[in-house]
Amino acid sequence: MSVLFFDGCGEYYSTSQLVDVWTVFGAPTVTSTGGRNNGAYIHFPNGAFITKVLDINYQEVIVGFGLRSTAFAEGSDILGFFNGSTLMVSIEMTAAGGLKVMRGGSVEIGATVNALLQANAWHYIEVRLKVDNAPNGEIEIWIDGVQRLLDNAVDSLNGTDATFDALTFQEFIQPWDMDDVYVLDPNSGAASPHNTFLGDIQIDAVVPDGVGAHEEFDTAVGSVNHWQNVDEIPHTGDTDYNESPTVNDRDLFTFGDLPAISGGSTLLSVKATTLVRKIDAGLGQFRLVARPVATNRNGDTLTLSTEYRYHQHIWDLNPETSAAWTDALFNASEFGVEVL
Amino acid sequence: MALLFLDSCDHITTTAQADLKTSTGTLLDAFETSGGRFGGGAYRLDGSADSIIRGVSSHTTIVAGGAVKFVNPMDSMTLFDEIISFREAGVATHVTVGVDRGFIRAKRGVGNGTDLGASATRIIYDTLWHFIEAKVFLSDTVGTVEVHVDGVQVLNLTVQDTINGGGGIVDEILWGRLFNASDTRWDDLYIDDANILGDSRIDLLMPDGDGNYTELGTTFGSATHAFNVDEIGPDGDTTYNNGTAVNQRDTFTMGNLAAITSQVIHGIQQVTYGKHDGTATNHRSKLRISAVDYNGASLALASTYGYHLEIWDQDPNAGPGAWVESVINGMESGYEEL
Repeated sequence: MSVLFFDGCGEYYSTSQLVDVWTVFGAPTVTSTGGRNNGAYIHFPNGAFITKVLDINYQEVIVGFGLRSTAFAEGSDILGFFNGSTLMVSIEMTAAGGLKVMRGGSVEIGATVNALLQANAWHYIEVRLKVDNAPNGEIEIWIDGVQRLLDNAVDSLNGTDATFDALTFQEFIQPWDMDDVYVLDPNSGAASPHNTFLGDIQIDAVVPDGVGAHEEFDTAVGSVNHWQNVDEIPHTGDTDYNESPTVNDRDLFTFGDLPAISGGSTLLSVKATTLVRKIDAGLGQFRLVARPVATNRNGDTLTLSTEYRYHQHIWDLNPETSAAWTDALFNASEFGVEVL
Repeated sequence: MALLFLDSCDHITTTAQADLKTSTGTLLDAFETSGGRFGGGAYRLDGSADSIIRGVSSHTTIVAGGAVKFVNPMDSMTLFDEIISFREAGVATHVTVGVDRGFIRAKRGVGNGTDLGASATRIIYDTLWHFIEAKVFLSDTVGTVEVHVDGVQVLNLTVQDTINGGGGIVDEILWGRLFNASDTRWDDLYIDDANILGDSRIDLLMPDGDGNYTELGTTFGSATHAFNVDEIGPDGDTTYNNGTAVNQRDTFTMGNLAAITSQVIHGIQQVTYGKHDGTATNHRSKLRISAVDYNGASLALASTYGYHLEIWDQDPNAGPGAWVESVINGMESGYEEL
């Protein structure tokens, strides 16, 4: 898997549920409209930050995100790559509308030219970082699909462990807005469909809108129409839900179509997300299922807590064709869950 | 193979009561009467030295488990914090299982001890209940550490040195907290001398009526014996039953278990709360199943109130054999003065 994580804020749309997706500190907010494509976005007021802890440690990743700010302040952090408590590398604004790269928060190791960022406008930032001593460290920044910084011989290592385990988006000095985040492993192998910058992307959320091939859960609380118990943004928890104690029970749903993008688009990856919990002690497991279009394709086994948590499975390729997704195939696909 | 300790965290209401059950003299903790994994109570650890400590008999193989929740955001920058420690009281901490930025990691010794190994991926998330179980075998050469999270094995270390000096035994378990997750909750704690039990819940049943025996006195409280011992959070000398002669017995009918679906009942633990009135006295727990009495071990009462525990891994009226829901719901529980 090459895409490790992405978030267009579309599946939760609310400040209170930001904690279901990110580790949250301070008081970041989520606004349901006004994002890059008039969807939801995250705002970082003074002292707010959110962290995505990676499943394993990485030496190199690519991170993309939309950025909008009313102004620019010298040295205002926006993204940090952490190894435990050690800040490896951070990306900061410059007062003149550029970005600079800091090692350990204090040593500048690279910068773009100024005046690339405009106030009150969305820009799409992509950062590739490989942490290592010179000449093996690498830093690369693209802004709005154009390369603006490349140094393949930089000292980007703070300390001795050339890995990082967490990405932190944060506000320091200058509040800003964020949308459409992705994290990608560029070293996931030649067979991986995505090993480099994705470019200026858009992340859309679609929700269930109809009955799929399987409707095997119970609907004790909510609508008799299974899909109507799982189509809320933001989610409503125990207000309505589908449930099943039976191994191999499945619920699959049809989904709304992707929005059309003028000039056409390439569908890079699909993430199925579900909010789920078990209701009693004991081993509880399930998997996400894609049905594109005739056969069920199963995701990994996922383990439940007794409290609601978002679980995801990313299909970079259409699992039925092992080729890139198309809008048409996605729109015709069903997604759902199966009890294990 | 036996359970050594169970704690539903549901039958006490104060830190002082919790201390009576779990402290070995150094416990610093707090107790919440709500917010447990399935409602009910939970331990809350939010001070820098807070922990739950339970002494047990000496073992070289031992299992400790419990449900834990890091209520506040788990600081990803926090390095290894001790979650379950296997200790030789006053001598050494042999093995510590901790959370290291979401990984499960085991060390010989405490936080600055020797790293034994870690889970392959991050599997601990903040703001969620996780059920964590760790089994340790102490050996200088062939020690083992096995950890399960939410019923799934995440760490299995073999051929390890798991003895950190001392006498090479474990007689004390410590459940700890994440230093930067300033509110860590524990619920459904257990200790076993052999087996990882899997994600388990511990249900509390309280007396709800008098049973076959009503032989102690009811000088202070209700004439119905059960009503003097049915408080969640015992009320001490306010209401109680008082024995005046050897072999006096009280047994009670108890509430029913919450529904059991596919779960296995691993055992029951009787908890009595008592003291003597100036003359050293022993008592024993008692089960009455299908009109047959079964007695626990003789337990000494002190001059101040204390909890006394009797564990029944199996139904003594079934051979002994496995417990089933209907037997537990139908039996009587009580005590006998010795």
